[in-house]
This record gives sequence, structure tokens and C-alpha cells, in this order.
Amino acid sequence: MKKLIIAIVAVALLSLTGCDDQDARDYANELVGVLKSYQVEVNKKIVAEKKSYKDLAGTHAYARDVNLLTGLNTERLSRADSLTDALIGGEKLTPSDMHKLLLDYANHDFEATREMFERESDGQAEYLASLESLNLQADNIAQLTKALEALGKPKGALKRLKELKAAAEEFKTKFDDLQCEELAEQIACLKDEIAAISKGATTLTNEQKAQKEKLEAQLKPLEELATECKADILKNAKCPDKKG
Amino acid sequence: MKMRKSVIFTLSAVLVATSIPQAGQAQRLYNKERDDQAQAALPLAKSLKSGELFDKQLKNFASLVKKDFETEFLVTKFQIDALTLGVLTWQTANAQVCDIEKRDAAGLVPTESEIKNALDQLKTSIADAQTALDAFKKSIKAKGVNNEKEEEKDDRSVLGNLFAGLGELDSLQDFLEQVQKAKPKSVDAKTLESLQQVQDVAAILKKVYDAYKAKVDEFNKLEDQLGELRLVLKTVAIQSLQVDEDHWKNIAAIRARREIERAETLRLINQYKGIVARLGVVDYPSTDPVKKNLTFCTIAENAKDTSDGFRIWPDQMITVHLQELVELGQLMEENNRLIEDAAQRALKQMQATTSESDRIAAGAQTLKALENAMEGIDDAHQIHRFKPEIRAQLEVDSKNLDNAVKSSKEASEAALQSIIVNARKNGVKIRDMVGDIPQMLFIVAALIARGSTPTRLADLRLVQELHAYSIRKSAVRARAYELTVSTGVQRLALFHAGGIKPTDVAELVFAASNIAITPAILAR
Repeated sequence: MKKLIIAIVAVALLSLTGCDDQDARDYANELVGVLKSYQVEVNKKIVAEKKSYKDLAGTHAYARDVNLLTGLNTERLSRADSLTDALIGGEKLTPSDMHKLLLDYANHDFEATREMFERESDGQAEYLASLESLNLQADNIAQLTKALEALGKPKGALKRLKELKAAAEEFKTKFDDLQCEELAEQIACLKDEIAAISKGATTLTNEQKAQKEKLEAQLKPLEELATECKADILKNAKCPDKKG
Repeated sequence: MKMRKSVIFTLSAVLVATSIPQAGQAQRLYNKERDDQAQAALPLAKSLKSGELFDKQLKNFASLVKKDFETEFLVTKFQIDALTLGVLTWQTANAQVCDIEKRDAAGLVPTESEIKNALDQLKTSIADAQTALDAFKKSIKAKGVNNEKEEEKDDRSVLGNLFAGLGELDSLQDFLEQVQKAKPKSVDAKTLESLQQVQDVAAILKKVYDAYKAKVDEFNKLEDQLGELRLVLKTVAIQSLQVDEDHWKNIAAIRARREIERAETLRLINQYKGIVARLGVVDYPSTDPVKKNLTFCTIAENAKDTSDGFRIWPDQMITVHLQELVELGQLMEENNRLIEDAAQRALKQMQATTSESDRIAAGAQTLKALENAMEGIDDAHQIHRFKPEIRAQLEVDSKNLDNAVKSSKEASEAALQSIIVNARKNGVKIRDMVGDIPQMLFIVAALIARGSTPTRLADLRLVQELHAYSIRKSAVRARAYELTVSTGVQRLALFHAGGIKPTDVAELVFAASNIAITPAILAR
């Protein structure tokens, strides 16, 4: 009787969990298909929206620049006309009066053009911000698809978790080292460049100084990124150009 | 019976326990071993969430960019504040403009054929890059040793949609169109240099696409267990290519933007040169065959040591020049008014004339006014190109009237009407003549306010782009790692069991995310 009870319980457990799991897997696999179609549609929508936003943003940015530069041109002419009228009308202006007028315009021009110069290279960033929500939706779909794909697989692989962990860690270590090697090569190249500028020169020309500063500016962020790399990787790195 | 009760109780308990829903999980019994394993994997899973790290890096980067820009603008502001009265000498004004031109707008204007050749080469390079990209896309869609099979069904292709955003070479195309539309004077040697740089970017993009295609062709040959990784590798390759393409497009856009902003500076410099030439300060463009090919700045710099017309410059204050110009303008304006008044009166008197002597008498005051005006101009210094032009016009008017009064009443009236019209035209010219120096001074002020800011900002943007690229590239690699480890972890373990080391897989994935040539090396 005891054996019978154990057998019944075992069968009940297996059938309950097993059947339910199979249904869930089938359901998840169906959902993956639906989501993939949806993902394709959302991606198409993103491409279309992006093009539309970019075209509009480009036109708006161009119009703003033209408006600003035309306005400044008109302002210069207007100020020059007023000064001419004053002079023809017999008004006496000292050099320092003129100097003040020029400084005033220079400051006006500086403030007006600053915004234009500061604007993002493509002038479209602000318009593209609204694309973020669409991209987010696409990311969510992608994540959901992955999750469902995982659910759609038998759970047997979970047993290998320890083995998976070891494999993943081994993978990560190698991957990090490869990244560090590449970073170290870039740093080595930039250092070689900087050394080449200073080599044999007692004093640097302005052009050389500017070039050196540019390279040092490039080097700084790379060195910051390399702080977590192994010391021997950084030490042994050579610029690929100079590798035998 | 006792036994039967306990069987029913056990079965009921199992049924209740297994029917309680657990969110997000299939129903299962607690397994301590699995739980321990899952807990051990938790820190690893957390280490995979790199999104926040890169968000933070990008935010820090954005603050750095803001500070860099502020510093650049402080430099320009300092230049404005350092503007002294010294700028009001011709020597300093020319030096300021030439300094900006040397940095921003140097070189001679290229010929039309040179511009056309450069534009044609750029067009070809863009077309080549697009062809290479099409080949890459074809390779992504295919699989098998000879790319003979299909990777995915077209209607559900996630890969196909991933690369839908690739190949938008609009920043390159826009620049091409801008240069094609530009006026010849807005195109100089530096524009050709920029065209060459943008063409280089298009050529690099072609190489990048080719390199990615070659790598994807290799992925297509992967079979068995490694074949399962193909989709992951292709996804990583596309994401990585997107970063590389964006990087080079950004570099092209920075250079194109610098060119567009520089065109405005070039326009101001050309206006300055035009005014200075009218004022006779610099003999440019020179009529002297020896100096014909010299640049404005070379002529301006050397004018000090040569007899270059009236030596009002280079050490004299512009304000003194302006004062003389105002006085000349006032004198010419007064004489112009007298000419017009005399001509108006003569026109009325001419209606009543019946003989040549009547006509000579009627036109005498006008001729006298014209003669006085010419004498006034002759006595003044040569300080503006309009002065001899107006002088020549007065002489023509005087001769015409002199001949007309000897000819007929109608001819005399026509000559007087022409004198009135010309006097009004000269009135505008005289005002423009006086207005040239104030206009020139405000142009110099604008040039100092903007100076070489576009060029300096472009240099800064290039350095910033390299920094941003390294962050974006790291983010893609981190995503590649997440994609492989978190979603492909089971496969990873299978490879391990099948004799393929995770380090080999890591090399494959790293290669997929690192196909392009190192930017820091290429950018030099």
C-alpha cells in the first residue's frame, strides 16, 4: 500500500508539473512568433519616423541659422547707418566712443552666435528625443521575446547552472582581456605619436604644441578606461603599426 | 482506513500546493540545490547589467562636453575683452582679419574644374560605400559556406530590421549639395581640403563595410554547435557596425559643419576686403602684373615698405581716415546739392530760351557748380574709389551740357535732366562712401566675436567624438557580452561540454564587435 501511495504521488507530481510546463512552453513559443512580427512592425515604424524627424529637424535648424545670420547682418548695417548719419550730421565721436560701439556689437554678436555654435552637430538631437519612446518599446519587445524564448525551452539546462557559471566567467575574463589589449594598443599608439613630436626638438612650434595637446586630449579618456585593466596587458602593449 | 485517510490527505496537500499560482514561473516543487545554484548565479547576472554604467558614463561625458565648450567660449570672450583702441589702426585691423583668414579661410580660390573633380570623387566614394553596404546586407541575410541559404524568413527578419537604419549617408550627401550650391567666392582651398576629408570618410566607410562583410561571410560558414551562435554574432556585428558608421558619419558631419560655418566667416572677410579695396588701403586685387597672384594678406603685409598709393595706412588711426572721409563726403554732398539746385533752375529757364546764347546763359550756373565740385574733389586726398568715379561722372555731365547748350533746347533739357538724375545717384554713392568705414568696423567686430570659434569647436568636437565613440563601442561590447552570456549561456555550457572553450567563443564575439580599424589610429 505504501508503495502504491508513493507511486501515485510521484505520477501525480510528474503529470501536474510536466503537462503544465509543456503547455507553458508551447504558449511561450507561440507568443515569440507574435512578438517577432510586432517587433518587425515597430522597427519599420522607427525607421520611418526617424527619417521624418530628421528631415524636419534639418529644415528647422537651417531656418534658425539663416534667420540668426541675416538678423546679425541687418543689425550691423543698422548700427553702421546710425553711425554714418551721426557723423554726417556733424556729431564728433572720439576713438574711445568708437571703441565702445565696436565692443558693444562684438558682445552682441558673441551672445547671438554662441547658441548656434553650441548646437549639436546634426542639429536634430532635440527632435529625435521623441524617438526614444519608440526605441524603448522596441527594446522591451526584444527583451520580452528573449524571456519567452527562454521559457519556451525545457528546464533541463538549469541543472547545469554551476557549469554555466564557470563557462560564463571564463568567457567574461577572456572578453575583458581582449578589450584591454585593444585599449592598450590604442594608448601605446598615441604615446608613440606624442613622443615622436617631442623627439629631437628642443622647443616645439605652435603647430607641434597644438598637435601634442590634441593627442593628449585623446589619450586621457583612454587611460581612464584602462584603469581596470591588468597591469601586464598595459605594460606589454605595442602599437600595431610597429609590431614586427 | 487510517492509511486511506493519510493517502487522501497527502494527495490533497500535493494538489493544493501545486495549484497555487507562482508569478512568472511554471509550477514546481522547491529544490534547495537549484536555489543555491541560482543564488550563486545572481551576482553574475547583476554584473551583466551594464546599461546603467554606460548611461552614467555618457552623462559624465555630456557634462565634460559642456565644460569644454564653456572654456572655448571663455577664450573668445577674452579676445573680445582684450580688444583695445589699437584695433582702430589699419595695420591692426588687417592683421586681425588676416589672422582669422590664415586659420579659417586660407588659400586661393580653386578653379571650377578643381571643384568639379573633387565633387565627382566624393560622389563616387559615396556610391562605392553604398555598394559595399548592400553587399554586407546581402551577406547578413545569407548563410552557408557559399552564402547559398537564407538566415531568416524575410517577413520576420529581426536582423533585416536591425540594419534598416544603416547606410543613411545623408550628412555626406548634404555636404556635397551645400558645396554644389555655394557661390564661387565661398569656396576656397580649405573647402577642397574639407571635400577631401569627407571623401576620405566615405572611403573609410567602404572599408568598414567590406571588413564587416568579410567577417559575416566567415560567420555564415559556422556549423554545428558554433552555427547556433551565428544569429548572435550577426546581431553583434550589425550593432557594432552601426556604432562605427555613426562614428565616421559624425566625423564627416563635424567637418561639413565647420565648412558651413566657415563659409559665413569667409563671406565677412570678403566684404572686408571689398571695402578696404574701395578705400584704397590695400591694392587688392592688384592691377600690377607682378602682384596679380598675391593674396590680400601678402599685399597688406608688404604695403608698408612700398609706395602703395596714398600712404594713409598702416599706422594711422582709422578714425582719422573716417574723419577725412566724412569731411570729403560733406563737401561732395554740398556740391552735389548745389549741382542739383542749379540744374533744376536751369531746366526751368531753358523752357523760355530761344537762342544758343540764352541756353549758354541758362546752363552757366550748372556748369560752374559742376566745375566747383570737380575742383573740390581734385583738392581732396584719394581716400575712396567712389571719389574718382563720381569725378568722372561730373566731367561727363559737364561735357554733355556744354555740347547740348550749343546744340539745341531739347538736348540741353535732356542733359540737365541727366545731371539731376546723376546727382541723386551720386548722393547715394557719397553716403555709401562715408558709410564704408563704419560698416567695415562692425565687420571686424563680428569677425573678432566669432573669430576661429567654428574651427576650434570643430577640433574640440572631433576629440569629443573619439571619446564618445569609445564609450559607445564599449557599450556595444558589453551588450554583445550580455547577449551571449545571458541568453546564450546554455549554449555556452554546451560548447564547454563539447570541447569548445568559452574563451574561443569570447574571441568570436569580440571579433564580431571589433571589425573596424581602430579609430584613434585612423583619425590621425
